Amino acid sequence: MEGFGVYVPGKSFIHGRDPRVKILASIFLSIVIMRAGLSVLVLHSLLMAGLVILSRLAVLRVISSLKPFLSFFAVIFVLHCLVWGESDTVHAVSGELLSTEGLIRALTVTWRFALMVIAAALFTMTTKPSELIAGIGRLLRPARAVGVPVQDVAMMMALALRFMPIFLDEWQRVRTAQMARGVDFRKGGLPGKVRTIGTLALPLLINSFRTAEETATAIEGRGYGAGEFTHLREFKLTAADCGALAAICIAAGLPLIAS
Amino acid sequence: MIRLEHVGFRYNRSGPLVLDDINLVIDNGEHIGIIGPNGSGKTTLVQLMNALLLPSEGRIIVDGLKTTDAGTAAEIRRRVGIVFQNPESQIVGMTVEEDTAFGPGNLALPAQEIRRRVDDCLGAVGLSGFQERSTHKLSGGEKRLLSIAGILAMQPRHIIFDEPTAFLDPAGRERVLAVIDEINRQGVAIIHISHHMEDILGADRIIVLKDGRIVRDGAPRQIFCDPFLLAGLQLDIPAAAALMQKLRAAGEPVRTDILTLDEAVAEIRSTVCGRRSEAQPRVP
Repeated sequence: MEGFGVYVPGKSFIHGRDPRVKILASIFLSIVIMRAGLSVLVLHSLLMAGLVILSRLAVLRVISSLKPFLSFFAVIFVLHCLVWGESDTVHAVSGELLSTEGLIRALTVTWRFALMVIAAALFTMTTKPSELIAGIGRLLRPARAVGVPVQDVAMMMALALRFMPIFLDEWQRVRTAQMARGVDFRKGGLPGKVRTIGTLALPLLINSFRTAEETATAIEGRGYGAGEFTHLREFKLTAADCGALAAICIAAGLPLIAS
Repeated sequence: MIRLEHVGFRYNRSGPLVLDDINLVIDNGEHIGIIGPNGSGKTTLVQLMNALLLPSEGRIIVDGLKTTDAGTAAEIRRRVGIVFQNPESQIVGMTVEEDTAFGPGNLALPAQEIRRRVDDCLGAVGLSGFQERSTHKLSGGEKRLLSIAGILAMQPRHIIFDEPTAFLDPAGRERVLAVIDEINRQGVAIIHISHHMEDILGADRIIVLKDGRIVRDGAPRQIFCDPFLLAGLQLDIPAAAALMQKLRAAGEPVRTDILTLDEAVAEIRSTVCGRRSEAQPRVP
């Protein structure tokens, strides 16, 4: 089982959109969904279904991204069933158990969260991490005017993504090496566990610093930091990008205003 | 052309000289091998050549640009590429093509040109079709080839290889050496640090470093066939040269200025044939 929202390569209309458009659309959708009532949520769900189909991702795979949140959904559903009405009192305690009002509210809130999760999953499943970061970098560009090193921040995020799997490998390696030298990671209860994590963390930390230094030298050697840089992909908003963003804003925003 | 004049280097002001009075000229298109025991200053020397480090004494001039002059670093790094020892820390992209695009991207080239260079350079190192692969899932040899492609994509005139065959299996080593030879054939100067003398038998010149000084600078045959020099540096003698020296020590009248296995076979065969025909053994 892969993690939440892992990028799935593809050539769909959604895959091809500029990452900035997808970031803005995702933010807009989340805001609109958060304010939608039940009837509008039905329309939003239809819109989302359309987007999923347009992305040519396996529908089940998108829906399964809800899985890690199921217990969270259960908790907010139950809480909203119990807490409702003007005064937000706990009606279950005062004897008045379930009500239609509580049920509708619980359903609305849970549905909103589920739709937001789907939107986020659809976004990250159709956007390369590197493009996502480049997109954030581009969107934050105005912040450079006040001295924020946007390009360096984007580079740091990209490097963090790149080195995460290496770090996990390294963790395994150090663990195996220490097991070979007789450390038993299962023994000793909680205090023992804490102690063994310490013995793992130190070599990992030292390795990370060494790798970081080597990488810093290497990216400098490859010309980083000379000024502007460009990407393999041209970040130019096309008519399709603008059209798609406008279409989503209208399709998601209008029903909300109308209601 | 890279020219080093009386170069000295120390890591901090009060520290010892890691490199001392280095004088060296590397011509365009030349293939240079650099050898020396650990700690002799090889890596420091090459990092001075592309302005990652600046000399404490003397000066370094790359194609007419002085590394210590302000504003030359970017251009010098475009002209002198370094393929570092550890490809893992050199690869910064999530996918093969993104990583290859990093260098040209830093040169602010248009997307179309980046795409052309990425595809060309991946082809040159034999990684065509790997564009969309995750860099994390490559083999050790493929990572090394990718790190070479990433440097090639900046179209440097000189490329430094810092132990490019370390940790590779024999097949991976062959591939990397063939790629380096091909790059050299295209007219790019190669500066090749190695602990494996066999890797640099084909170099035009070998530079021997010891304790931060150049102790020898000459043709591979002069360097590798000098039994006292390499032993004194605790470096390996190429297998063929070692064999001939042992035969000679055992009293066989063979030549000892032999570098490759083919040469050794020819020499031994001619000695054996000479003995069979009961001719006088040749003494060099």
